[in-house]
Amino acid sequence: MSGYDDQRMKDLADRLVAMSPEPPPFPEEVTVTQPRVSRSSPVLMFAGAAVIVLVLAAIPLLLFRGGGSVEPIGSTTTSPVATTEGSEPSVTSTVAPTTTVPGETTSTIAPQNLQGVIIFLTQTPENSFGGNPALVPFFTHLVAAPDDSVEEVALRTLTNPSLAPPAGFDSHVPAGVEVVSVNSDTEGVRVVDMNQAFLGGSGSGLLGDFTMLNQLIYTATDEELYPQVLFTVGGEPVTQFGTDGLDISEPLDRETFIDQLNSVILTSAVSGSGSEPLVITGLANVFEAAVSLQLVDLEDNVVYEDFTTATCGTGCWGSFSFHIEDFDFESTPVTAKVFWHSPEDGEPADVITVPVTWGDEAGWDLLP
Amino acid sequence: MITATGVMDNEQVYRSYAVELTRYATGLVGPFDAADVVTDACLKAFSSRKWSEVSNRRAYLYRTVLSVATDHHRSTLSRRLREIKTAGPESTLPQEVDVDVLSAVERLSMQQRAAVLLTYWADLPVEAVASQMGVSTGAVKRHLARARKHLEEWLS
Repeated sequence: MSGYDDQRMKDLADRLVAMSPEPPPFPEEVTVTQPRVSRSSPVLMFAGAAVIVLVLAAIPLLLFRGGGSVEPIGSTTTSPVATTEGSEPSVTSTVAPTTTVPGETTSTIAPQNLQGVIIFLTQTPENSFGGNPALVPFFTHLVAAPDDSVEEVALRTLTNPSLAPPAGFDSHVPAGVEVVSVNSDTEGVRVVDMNQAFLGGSGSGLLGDFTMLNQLIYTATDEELYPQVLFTVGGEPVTQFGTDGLDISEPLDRETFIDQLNSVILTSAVSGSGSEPLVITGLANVFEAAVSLQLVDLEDNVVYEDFTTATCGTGCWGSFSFHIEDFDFESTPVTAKVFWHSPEDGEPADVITVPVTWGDEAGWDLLP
Repeated sequence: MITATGVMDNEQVYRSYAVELTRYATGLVGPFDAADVVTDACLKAFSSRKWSEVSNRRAYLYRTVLSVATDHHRSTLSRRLREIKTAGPESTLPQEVDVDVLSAVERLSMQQRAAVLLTYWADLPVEAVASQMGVSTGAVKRHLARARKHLEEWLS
């Protein structure tokens, strides 16, 4: 067999593109220039409440008609019509139950999708120099309404009181803090309205407050389109936050409180699948910008090592990335360690340790 | 519609590039999810604060499609293929779905797919591919070399 020469590559590309479906229709909602109305707007909240009331009202009827059984007699329920397993960050399954209650108005519960999101948790690094927590992103997937933005789902996950961080990780967002709505303006700022409990901060001191904000900031923003977030309570900017009454009434970005973090943090989830390279990205402010990576197996043997140079160092923050190709993650469970070498003794410092998850179901179950 | 300032509005931009963006997305994520990727990418681009200042909107949309496809990827194509193979001969596949080609492409990373498509489908020189992908020309050459290697391994 002749291998993949240029002609064969061209044939492959042409055959691939030849499978193209018709273009989707123009996405009309992009013409809206005002901030998008979140699903928690009063109108939608009212509609949602109406659905809940109808469903609750139906339960006694169903129980009565079914002699104690919850079989929905006299109603029709449509099972998931198109379900595929997986952990994609976009639509993978549709669940659209339609419930008809005798004597009641027909109500349709909004279709829901499995949506993949990334949220930022914290870790106390090994051999820490500054004593600040590290940020570590985690990929998870959960059911969401189709019009929920990824960021809204991520923020609601991070503030979910049932959030269960993996062993060795933590969240400084206390129970009771809730996201009321998320809107994205046209200036690259996400406006996140929080409930009153947000004003109390983390409840664990000033560093805890900074850490809580950093978790929320990194989860709410991205590096390109929406690099800033403005937190409001009751629609008003926050001038007194947490233990020390921090004024956060202006939009915040990923650099605002970065100095209150470990000198190495991660910005991409350490997971993947198939033949993809594992790409680990992060930010670091370390000596000579030198960042190291190790993959260790279950017996703590180093099975892969690499180092790179961040775009800035020794007093300034720079970005870094590792591209790990041709490593068999499927058959070798490993943990990634990202750190820098102390100039004093050469030992790994500020070490972040994250298990690599790999495969079609890669990611973490963070909610019960 | 062309506005009074002579700038195409979003719908006009979309209609100008929707077909080629859908083809590009098909090359990146397969035919099943290409439309979703294009829709998400256009929503993302049109709502970007930079959009009004973008001089080369076509190139920006291509970059956004790649960005959304990369987020979207996470083994979607692998799973779709597994489902097709599991469903067996009784499954009703659209005639245009070429399982062999998709099985080959499944072996490539998203960056490798983009480099292959921009080089061999869009016929762009390596410098333009690098510019389009936001990487160095060396990185493009590495992606292409690795794509060939993966495809050759698949052949053998």
